[in-house]
Amino acid sequence: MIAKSIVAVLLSLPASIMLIALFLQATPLIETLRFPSLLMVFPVWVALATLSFLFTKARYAALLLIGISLLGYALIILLKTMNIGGA
Amino acid sequence: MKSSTIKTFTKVHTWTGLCAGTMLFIAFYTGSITVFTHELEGWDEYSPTPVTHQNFDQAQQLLDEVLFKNPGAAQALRLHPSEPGHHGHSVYWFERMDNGTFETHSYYLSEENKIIKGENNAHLANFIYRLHFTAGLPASWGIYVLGVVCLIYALALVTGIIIFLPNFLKDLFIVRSPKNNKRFWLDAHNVVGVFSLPWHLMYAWSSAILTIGIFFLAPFQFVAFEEDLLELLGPELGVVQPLEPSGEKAQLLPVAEAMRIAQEHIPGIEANQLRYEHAGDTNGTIRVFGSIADGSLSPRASVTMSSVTGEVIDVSEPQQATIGSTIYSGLVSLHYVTFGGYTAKWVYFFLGLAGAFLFFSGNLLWVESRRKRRKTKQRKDTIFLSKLNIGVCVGCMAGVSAAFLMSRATADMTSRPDLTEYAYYVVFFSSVFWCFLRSVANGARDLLYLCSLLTLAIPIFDVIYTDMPFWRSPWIGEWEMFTVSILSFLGALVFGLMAKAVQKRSKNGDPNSVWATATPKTAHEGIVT
Repeated sequence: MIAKSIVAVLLSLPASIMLIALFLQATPLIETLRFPSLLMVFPVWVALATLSFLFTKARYAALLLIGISLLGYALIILLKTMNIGGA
Repeated sequence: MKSSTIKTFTKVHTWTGLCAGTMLFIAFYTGSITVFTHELEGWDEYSPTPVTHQNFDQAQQLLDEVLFKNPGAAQALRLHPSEPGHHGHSVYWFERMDNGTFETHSYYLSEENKIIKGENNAHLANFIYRLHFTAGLPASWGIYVLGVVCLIYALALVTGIIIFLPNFLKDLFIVRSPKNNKRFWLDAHNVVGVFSLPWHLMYAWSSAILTIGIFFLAPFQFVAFEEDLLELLGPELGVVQPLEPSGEKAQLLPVAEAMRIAQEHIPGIEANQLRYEHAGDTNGTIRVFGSIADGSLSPRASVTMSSVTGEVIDVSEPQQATIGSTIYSGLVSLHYVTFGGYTAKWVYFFLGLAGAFLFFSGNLLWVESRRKRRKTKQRKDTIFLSKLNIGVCVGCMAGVSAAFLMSRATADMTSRPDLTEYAYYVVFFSSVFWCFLRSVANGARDLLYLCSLLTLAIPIFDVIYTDMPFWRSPWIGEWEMFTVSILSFLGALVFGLMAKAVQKRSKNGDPNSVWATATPKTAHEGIVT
């Protein structure tokens, strides 16, 4: 439980930031959505942390959350390189 | 939903509740009091010769004298105009020290129109507010700890919903007999939790934003935004960048004129602060902050103008807010209950106390569900948590009452702020210590009686230290004094009844419980006393 809790709390934060950053980068620049999207970090963080506990082992949750973070970051870099969207 | 899923989330709910429960109790108990921060300041600042309402000419006099005697104050100066409940103008300026910290200087105008330097020594409301967002930890980092606690709190809420859902309709309106302790505490915990759930979800979110919000934003600067994020969000957060000082002196716009311009651009604005940047410089600004009674959730408004010409630079009012600004200021308003008048404040007050009960009862539930029903000697972990729960929660309430008493008794002393804080911490830590010296039941009883006595003493101290006893205050409209007295009497009664109930339970209740005290019959079994 302790390992799962640490994974859930710590690794969900970068994952939620990457998901929202990817949303901001991938959607057309709509200034009115920028601040509301940033405010959603906390609810997304809580949702991901809660879902992490559904995994039977902490390492599966850790792998998924790290995967989301890295994939999200890679996609952001790709979209920026291709000049698609823009935060 | 699978039973294994329910079991997993029950564990998460239990552990998040145990980790965060006591800190959240302190946050919610003090939070319910800080709903009435303004009124508490009025109670704490009570004087037999109060300052009466002061006009704009007096505000001008105060401002001019402070700037004349302290040229450095021109960089960042705040004028708080006289308002109902807080008569008398006051001016603050913040001096930057060599080590990077800021020292606050404050001035106010006495009834005889004399400038008085030095902070008003009433500190109770500020201290209880600080307890609310730090749970008593040092302010420099306590706020961040509470921010992390908000996440744990949110997890507890979400998992609580998940585990309650299967029995939602069956159990929602049921509170079973206190004869089955575990069932009673569970039902009470569920009813309070479910009915106040939207309010708790709002508090988890808004508290996280207010405490650790900046840590959410910082990573976006590196991964998403090319421009400076704070500059992008500034207008939505209500930030108006001051101009750089020109170095040329200019006549400062009179206070009355600044207020008139603010009223012209936002009719009906009730100004509560004038913020001066580079006062007396041609590039100086005045920002008039206030609120408007337009029925919106977030009634704050401001007008920024040149401090020389009065030319308006920025107007910020609820109707102009963007979606993001509306959500943000809405959350802040919901958190601070800056809407709905006294009705909303009283609803929040009782929801705050119910929230404190929620965390306390959650810990009690954990203890009760691990009770050894056939043995008098209980588990060490349940005894430990029981003592910690009682010590921290009742100790906090007793400490707050002690702070009220000390603040009243030391009204004429310059060390009043420090003594108010010492009173709280001495009583709080002594309570925790006492609980660990005694058995659970005796410790709980002792602390509840102490809490009752300290709370009862609050209106008695009014009789001793002021000329406004509780039997006189309602007849002359001193409602702050009267309300605190009435709530103190009620609180003392409730604490006293709880102490009696604990005592009765310890003698006549099931001996196989942490709430039982040793009897000769069971002493040989090694029961803890």
